[in-house]
Amino acid sequence: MSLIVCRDLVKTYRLGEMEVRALRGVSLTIEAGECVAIMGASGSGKSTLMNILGCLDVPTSGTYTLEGTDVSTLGGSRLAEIRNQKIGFVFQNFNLIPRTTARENVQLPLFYRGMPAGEQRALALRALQRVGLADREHHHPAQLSGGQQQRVAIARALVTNPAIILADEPTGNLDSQASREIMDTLTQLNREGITIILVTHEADIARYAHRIIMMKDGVIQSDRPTGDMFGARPAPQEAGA
Amino acid sequence: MNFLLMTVLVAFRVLGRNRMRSILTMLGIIIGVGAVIAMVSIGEGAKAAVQAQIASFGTNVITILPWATTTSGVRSGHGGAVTLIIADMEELRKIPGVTDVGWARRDAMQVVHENKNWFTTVNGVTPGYLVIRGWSTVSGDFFTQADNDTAAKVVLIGNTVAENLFGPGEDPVGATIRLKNIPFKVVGKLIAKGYDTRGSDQDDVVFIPFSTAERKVMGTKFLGSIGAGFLSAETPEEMASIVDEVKRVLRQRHKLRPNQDDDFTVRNQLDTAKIQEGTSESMKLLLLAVASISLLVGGIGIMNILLVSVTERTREIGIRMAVGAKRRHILLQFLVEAVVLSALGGLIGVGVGVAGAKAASNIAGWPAIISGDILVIAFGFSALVGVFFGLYPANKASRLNPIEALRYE
Repeated sequence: MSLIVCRDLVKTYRLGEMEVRALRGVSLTIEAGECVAIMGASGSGKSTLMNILGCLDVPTSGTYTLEGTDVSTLGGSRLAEIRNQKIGFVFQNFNLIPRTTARENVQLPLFYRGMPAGEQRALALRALQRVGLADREHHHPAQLSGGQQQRVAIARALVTNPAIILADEPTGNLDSQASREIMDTLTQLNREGITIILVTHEADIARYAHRIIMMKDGVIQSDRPTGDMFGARPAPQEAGA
Repeated sequence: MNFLLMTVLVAFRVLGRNRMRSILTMLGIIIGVGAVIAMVSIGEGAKAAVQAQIASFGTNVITILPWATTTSGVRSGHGGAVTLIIADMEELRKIPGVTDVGWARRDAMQVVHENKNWFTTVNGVTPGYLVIRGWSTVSGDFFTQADNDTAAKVVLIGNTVAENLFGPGEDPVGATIRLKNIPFKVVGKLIAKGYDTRGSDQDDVVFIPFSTAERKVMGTKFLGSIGAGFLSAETPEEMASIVDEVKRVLRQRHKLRPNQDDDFTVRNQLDTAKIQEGTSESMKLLLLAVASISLLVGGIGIMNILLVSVTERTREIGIRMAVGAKRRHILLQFLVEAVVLSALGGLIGVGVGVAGAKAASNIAGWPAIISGDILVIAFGFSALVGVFFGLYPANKASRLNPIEALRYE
């Protein structure tokens, strides 16, 4: 059974009189353990697709099956549960809660599970360790560098042990050094078995994925392995060495 | 439970970050609750004081005045024809439920003791009057029926008069004072009653036997005419029916035709008490209304600041939703913040109100009675204000679209 199966996803927005068709029939399948990059110019529908894949939004028509569950017709409360249990988000602008410590930010998804505080703390610390920030547990976002903030966000995404990590332009606000570190962290997590979906318009970032889906005007323009697009894929860890 | 507790902790921290703003927001509730408590406490104190004054008049007292106070047309007031005599009162004594009967007449005059003198009210009264009005002595004793029958020259003096005619600590009993140059033997000093409901000093008075007043001190145009009659009823419930009976008997004795107005006035102490209580009750309601309005304004303040907070924290709400917060989680979070604000304000308000009531009674001398009930009610009400005014902003927050909230700058 595939992790993600999308069939004919259509998303239509109403902007006053105008009807905007952000997705015009997208079908795709993603297997567990893949690292997929979704690319495309702004307005290509890649953000809309990401919102639907992240269960933040539901399609106007079509079906989206996540781990065998059809989530395209679920209500807000069930979607929140799916997000909590199966999806970790990493955003371009980090989206940490200000004036709240790194550990508490990481704990947030566990808090909404109603987990006892002690357990939350232990899991959050382990997640921070995995991104190499165990010593920053009491720092506020403002006291951390951009790269560190993004790693806290990654820790928050993986603390629930999700099926997918959805990373929306994860390096968009970072310099090249920090970008490389973040991508190394993500590919490391991918090697540990977590499915990663990257949304980006940067070819350098997309290169880290195994497979690249190009979006244009609300449809998939191409969907092929990274090697086909960029030639032989330099394994990131080798490139760094 | 765990979740709620943590939400409360988070709310405290969020409010602590904007300390000044939180305090200013709470101020409305603090003032509202403080005002409610101070007002009600002072109101209760005033009510108790009025009740004590009414009680100092005696219990279950019916007063009969020998003049009409009808409101229809102009009445001559007192000083007209003689309308109430001792024989009337003796007749009223037969009404069932009447325990004591007394009567009095009074005049203002100079009383003299050695080189001191004092201008006061001299009351000629029967021993029954003293019982009905609830007088008692601190030293000596009442004069007796025999003193009244023999028109003995004995006098009971009130506290104020004693203070003005005798030195401090001096026992007036056994001394001789002069009224219109007639020597009277002081047989008792009365307890101090303080001021009555109309603000006159009840202790600025001396009492002599009624017949002594009539025959030796004041004189009379018509023997047996009295200034005022007094009855006491056995129970408060009987008072209304006794008043009716008094009117019937007096109309009959005074041979009044049905179309004639009463030539006397009957006052029921309970009516006076009810009027007084009604006044303080409506005063209390008025104060409560004012205080409620300030609570309302405080609640609107909370709503306002929470709406600002929801807008400021739109992105935070988006983040929380993205990681799995449900609508009810967000709703609860903001509702708890509202309730923490208002309940904390309420708690401080309780302190302020109690301090205010105490200060009012210490500085201004108003008696204040602080009841635990009102503290609990005021505090509970403030928490309710939080729930009520928190609902709208909390609901607004919970209905945000997570995608738009995440993108909010």
